[in-house]
Amino acid sequence: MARSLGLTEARVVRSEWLKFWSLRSRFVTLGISAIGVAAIGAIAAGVVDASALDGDPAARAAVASLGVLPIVLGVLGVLSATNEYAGGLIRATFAAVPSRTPVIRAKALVLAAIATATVAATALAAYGLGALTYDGGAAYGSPFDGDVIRFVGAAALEAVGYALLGLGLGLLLRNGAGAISTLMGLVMVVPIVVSLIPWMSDTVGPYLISSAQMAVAGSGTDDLLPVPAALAVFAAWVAVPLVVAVVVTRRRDA
Amino acid sequence: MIELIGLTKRYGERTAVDALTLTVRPGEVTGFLGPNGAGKSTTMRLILGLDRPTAGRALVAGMPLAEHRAPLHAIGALLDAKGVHPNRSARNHLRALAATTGIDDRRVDEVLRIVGIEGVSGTRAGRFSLGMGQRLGLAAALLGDPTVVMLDEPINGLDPEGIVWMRKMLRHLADEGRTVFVSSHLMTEMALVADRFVIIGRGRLLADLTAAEVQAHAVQSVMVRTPDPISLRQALCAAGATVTADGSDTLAVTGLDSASVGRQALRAGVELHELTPVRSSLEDVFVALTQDAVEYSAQTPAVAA
Repeated sequence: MARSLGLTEARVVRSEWLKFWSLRSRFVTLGISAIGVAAIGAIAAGVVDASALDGDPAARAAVASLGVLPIVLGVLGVLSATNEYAGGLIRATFAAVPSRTPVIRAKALVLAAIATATVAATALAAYGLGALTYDGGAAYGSPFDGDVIRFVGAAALEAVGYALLGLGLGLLLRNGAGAISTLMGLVMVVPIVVSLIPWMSDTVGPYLISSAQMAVAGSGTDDLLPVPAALAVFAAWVAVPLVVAVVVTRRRDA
Repeated sequence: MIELIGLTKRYGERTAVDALTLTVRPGEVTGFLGPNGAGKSTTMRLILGLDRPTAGRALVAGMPLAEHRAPLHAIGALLDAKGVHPNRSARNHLRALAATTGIDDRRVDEVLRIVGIEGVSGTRAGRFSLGMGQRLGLAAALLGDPTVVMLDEPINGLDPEGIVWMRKMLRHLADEGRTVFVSSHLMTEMALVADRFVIIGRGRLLADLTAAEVQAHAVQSVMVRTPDPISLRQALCAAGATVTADGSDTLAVTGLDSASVGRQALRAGVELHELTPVRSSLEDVFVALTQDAVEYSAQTPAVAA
């Protein structure tokens, strides 16, 4: 063979890219989610009442349902790790890449790229379809009006974050059902529980991953953290499990 | 070449691999034998760096696998035929593994041909029979044209034709100068193909023998059937043989070869109905060596055939 053969970071990324797209379920999951979100956006833009927009452009309504995508990406993040543990594929993977860290880095990179692209493409479709269906009085608005671009950017960040948090949990727990439940618990159940307990909602509430995301998106209330602090909290929610997962995965018997 | 130096793995109180020192040489098929739970699979995981040794080292071509620039080219391993995502096609499974060191799709198609599953390369691996899974696992092991090929129970689930094919494949790989390290609990199968036998029990090395040395361990006896076992027995004992009765008209004779047994019968004027030389199998040698080291022995110990 002509080319020099050997492990490189780029080759491991290519391997993970092939793994991701060689499962038909990935196309189906992402495709249906994206089409669903764009369709809901179109409907929302079609029925939005201009007087209820409170100064926001109508386009804001078209992209409002993007928040579903981070959950989907989080689940795909979990599965990209637990799928390999379920059947024992992980042993072939780690025999091919014995230092293991490049595999985790590659999975993270592939997930981040796919999460960003999915949110961007879906936002574009929702915005475009919304422009066709909207016939309210006020202007539909360009993507750069008001908070539209900020909201889309925050959704993309959230999707990347959830995917990587899912990857970290999947690597740590090595069990799909357990890791997906934990992810859902952290992003959906814990916020509800905290909001019900008065002393916690003030002290702990702003530091939850969901609150941090809302602060970044600019769609929350006054008791949220300022944006820079919220970004740091969000990053910690993603980075801490992932770094622990790298350390544990390198040490653990596969 | 695979070198194990004092390789030890303990899981809590249990010692799975116990100070194993061993060299697996190139150009030979080395059969890695031992009862279930002897530590064969653990040893293979340690060689691949999947499990961390408690003590000792495992070297592949002179260094730990993690230090190789192209691990797939140093060692190709088949650990588990089910180690494939069930919804990924055989070809895509191989492409993903191959991509890690830049092996191209031509080589992927080549190994699919070598193992004879090119016709089902687009089929989801979850639909494969165990035998097809073993072939896919072997294809993955061969991707990097490795100097060492290590297979854990590759014969499991193969049909008779597949077993013959696998045997030829192992021979061929060794003849190409590769190190071929194959675990099995099927002694008779190993006896047909291996040049060297490494036997372990409870994680310890029990024997490291060439095929010729195994033959030397094997006991030869003669089975003889006669209507007059009492007279024949006397004649054979007088000639220095050890005789045990095996049924009402059959004797098992050790210490004399079949020609001598026939001669003694002729001299004693005893009629023979059957005269058969019996060579104890590798299985018998194996049972003798591992009797004390069987991890899970049956309630009633099986009598060696």
